[in-house]
Amino acid sequence: MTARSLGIARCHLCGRATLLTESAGHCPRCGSHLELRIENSISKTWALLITAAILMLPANLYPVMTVISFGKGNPDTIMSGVIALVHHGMYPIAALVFIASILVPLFKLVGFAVLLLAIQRGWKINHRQATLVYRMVHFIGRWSMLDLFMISILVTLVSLGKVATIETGPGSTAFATVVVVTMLAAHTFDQRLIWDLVDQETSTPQAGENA
Amino acid sequence: MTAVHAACVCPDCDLLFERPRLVNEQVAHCSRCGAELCRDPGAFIDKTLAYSLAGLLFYMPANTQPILTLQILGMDSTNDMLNGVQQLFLGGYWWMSFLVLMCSVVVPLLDLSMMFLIALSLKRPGILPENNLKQLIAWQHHIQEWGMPEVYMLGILVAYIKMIDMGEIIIGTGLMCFVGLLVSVILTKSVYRVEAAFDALEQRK
Repeated sequence: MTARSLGIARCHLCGRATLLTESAGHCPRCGSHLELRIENSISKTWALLITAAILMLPANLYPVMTVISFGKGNPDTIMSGVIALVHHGMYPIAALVFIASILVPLFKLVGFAVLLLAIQRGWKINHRQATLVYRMVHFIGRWSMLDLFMISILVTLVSLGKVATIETGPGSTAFATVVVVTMLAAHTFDQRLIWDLVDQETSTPQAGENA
Repeated sequence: MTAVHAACVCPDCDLLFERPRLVNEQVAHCSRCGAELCRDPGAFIDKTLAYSLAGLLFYMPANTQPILTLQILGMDSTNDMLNGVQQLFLGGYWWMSFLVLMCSVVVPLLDLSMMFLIALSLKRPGILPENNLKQLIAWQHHIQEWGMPEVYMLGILVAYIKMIDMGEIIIGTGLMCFVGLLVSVILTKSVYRVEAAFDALEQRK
């Protein structure tokens, strides 16, 4: 039996279960705002996802980093950086950067889009697997910051005047924003909506319930 | 319904359970989706205190001592936690420099010191008024996700391997301390739980 069917809300901060009718919308233990589901979760998450998808373009098309050696500049986008690593034979690092900077953001966008569509359309999905997708997307989000941290280390490490310097490129700003926006999307997404589909399947579907 | 707050609700799928009796740091998982429902906190207050204090001791040298030094043709340049942020800021990339500063320097410090203060106040009542303590627990919960020392560690590793054939790289004291800081943060987070902090606060009355 779900807590919602009894009008019980779990406090998002302290975890206490409270009857919504007995509280004035606030958790009696910690004072946080109580709600059965995150309000407008789906439209908020869509908004952030679309923002992230648009930002993915400048993030991948503009250079993130320029290595200037003896006066010659060589701007690198995320993908060309990975290719350069492959040419140098650094396969494990190339794979790591490729996963963290390209696969992970893509997986996050596609994962969330599929979850949202499944909830909105009432698709018959494996709920355990869908929850697993949510947990993975939530967990891997932060690892995309890898590229930014690496750039911040490299710009100071390689500042040797004419011999070699590394400069940041505009792509990195867009990329940083993609990471922040998708992390926010993981917060506005209410994972319990996945399991609300189970109740919809067993009882008559209620229109516009999750809107 | 007096029994409602003795119930336990799955955070991921909203299934309702009767709060299980747990001993010896047992963890209960949801039977439907596998999420962690609740756990026996054990001596989490003492452990949080110990681990977060260790992390705070590592924090200062990790952030002031050099992490990596690169030597090429007799010249060398050194990286520590803060000059990367400074370099980005001077280059005009203030949004990136702000993010790196927050995720690698500011939030880990706030996170550790907040968990330390929360555990200390739970152990010794009277250090903080109850309302402030509740507020502190809430703030820690909201900021903790933005501290990413583990990702920074991987960033150092990638930078190291990338530069390895450019010149000689020297590992600094800062990096050793940063590893210590990282281990302490991971240990603190493995024992500290918001729910347990509120439970402890409730039982105190």
